[in-house]
Amino acid sequence: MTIKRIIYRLVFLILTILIIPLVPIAIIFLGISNPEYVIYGTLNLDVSHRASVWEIYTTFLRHIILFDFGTSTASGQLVIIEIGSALGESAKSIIPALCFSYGVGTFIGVFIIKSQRVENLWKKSAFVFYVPMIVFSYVFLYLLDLMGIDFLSSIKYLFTSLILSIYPIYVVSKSFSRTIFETTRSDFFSFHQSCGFNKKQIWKKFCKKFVFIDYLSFFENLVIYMFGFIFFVETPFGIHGIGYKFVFAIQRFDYPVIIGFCIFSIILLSAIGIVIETIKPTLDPRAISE
Amino acid sequence: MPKIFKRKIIFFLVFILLLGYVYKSFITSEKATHLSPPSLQYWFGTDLTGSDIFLKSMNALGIEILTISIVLPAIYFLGLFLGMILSYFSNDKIREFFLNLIHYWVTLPVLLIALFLLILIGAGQKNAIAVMIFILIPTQALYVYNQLETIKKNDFVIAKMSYGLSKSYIYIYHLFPNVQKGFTNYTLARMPEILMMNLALNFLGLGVQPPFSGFGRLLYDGLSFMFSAWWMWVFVIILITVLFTLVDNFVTKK
Repeated sequence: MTIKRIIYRLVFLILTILIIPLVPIAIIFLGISNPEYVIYGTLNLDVSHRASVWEIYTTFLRHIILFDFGTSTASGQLVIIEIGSALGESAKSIIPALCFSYGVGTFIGVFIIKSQRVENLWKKSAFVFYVPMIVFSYVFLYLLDLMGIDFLSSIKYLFTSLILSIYPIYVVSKSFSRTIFETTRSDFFSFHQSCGFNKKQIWKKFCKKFVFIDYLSFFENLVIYMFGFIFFVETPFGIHGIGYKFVFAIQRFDYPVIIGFCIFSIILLSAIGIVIETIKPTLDPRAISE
Repeated sequence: MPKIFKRKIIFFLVFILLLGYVYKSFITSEKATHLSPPSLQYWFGTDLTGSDIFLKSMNALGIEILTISIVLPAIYFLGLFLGMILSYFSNDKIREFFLNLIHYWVTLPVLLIALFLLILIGAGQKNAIAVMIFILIPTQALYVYNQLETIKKNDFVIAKMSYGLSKSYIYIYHLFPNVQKGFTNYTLARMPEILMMNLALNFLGLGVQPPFSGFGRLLYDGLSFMFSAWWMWVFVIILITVLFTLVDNFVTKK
């Protein structure tokens, strides 16, 4: 079943790559936009606007497969190089944010299980996690300036990681406490207790894995969330990562960069999903038995 | 008068007042002194062009309400239709293919797909709404499909089939009412997601275009005046926080 799912994912990834070039063609032939705007204005393809559908399709597909998105109209740099440097810059916020989410989320989760008071407090303050991260970006930026801290120094990475991890912390802590709650009340747990194992041994030998598998299953969603909304933190803090460059490209109508970023991100995140899908069954004993 | 009843009247009056301001924001175009701080005349101050930020915020609120009121019913009915079709005609192979397709779609960065499509078809709130509907439908259909598949296994459905009732009759009169409530709540629970997506698209300048304004656009405009004209973003942020908290409360209670 799991192998089938991976195969399906791979097939869909290939289909996505094959379908993306059909989108502009559909837009041209449905009359949503004119051919010149789509071919030269946005996609920057080296074909005539009177070219056949097949020619437009194959040219765009070739560009996607080779990651050849042309050069940025604003900086004159190759788009792929620009994406690479921006990814490096964004990784400085995303990687600590992921570590922070899992670390703090687990820590809070432990407290939720141990104390009813913490659980109540957590439930009451849950609305904070639904506030968009841009609100926190603006408030933190203003407060940093008010306190006389230079927000353009390396401290900006700390704050962007912190802001990026606010909602993920909520997700992780909720999931952790739920997994612990369900596992300790499961037949599996009582069976091992009746076999003479104590709680600590059961957790160490069997259940630790469940929490890890649980974490792995929403890792992809957390990366997508951070990737998708990173411009909300990078733009105010002036970090030249993917989010900032994306906003900058939209303001400058730098279409090669915009298209390049979108396609590259979709392929990258799909690839991450496939890797996770491949790792998961090797860790999950239930998946192996399936 | 009961306390709850009094509160409802106050909420209703505030809502009517806000609607009045939203209406005013669409018809007023007068300009004042640029970048003037909050005063009795201009509660939220004015921006670089001399426009009243309060009216602009009300305009943004109106646009948000409009977007929600178009997107929610659209994804509700289209998702329901697609989910029912998928459940009605599916055989094992088709079911497996579509379920995997939707699972794959769920793992894609939908916001980036929305941006890609918006860049190709052009910016504007109408296009943004259309794109939002398009990218939200698959998950809606998946929910309906899963619910229908679970309910289909119930004994009462088998009993109805043994009476000789047609498949479509059972779907419309017996399965649909069972799915309806859960699906309505699920659709309503997507309100924060729609608001967030709209905020992001407006922040990037791909949603509402001038002379209208969106919360995202107002925030982006306020960024350049972060330290020199705080009123350009502080009130907007307060409004966004209140809006999200209210929506979250509404969704949680539902």
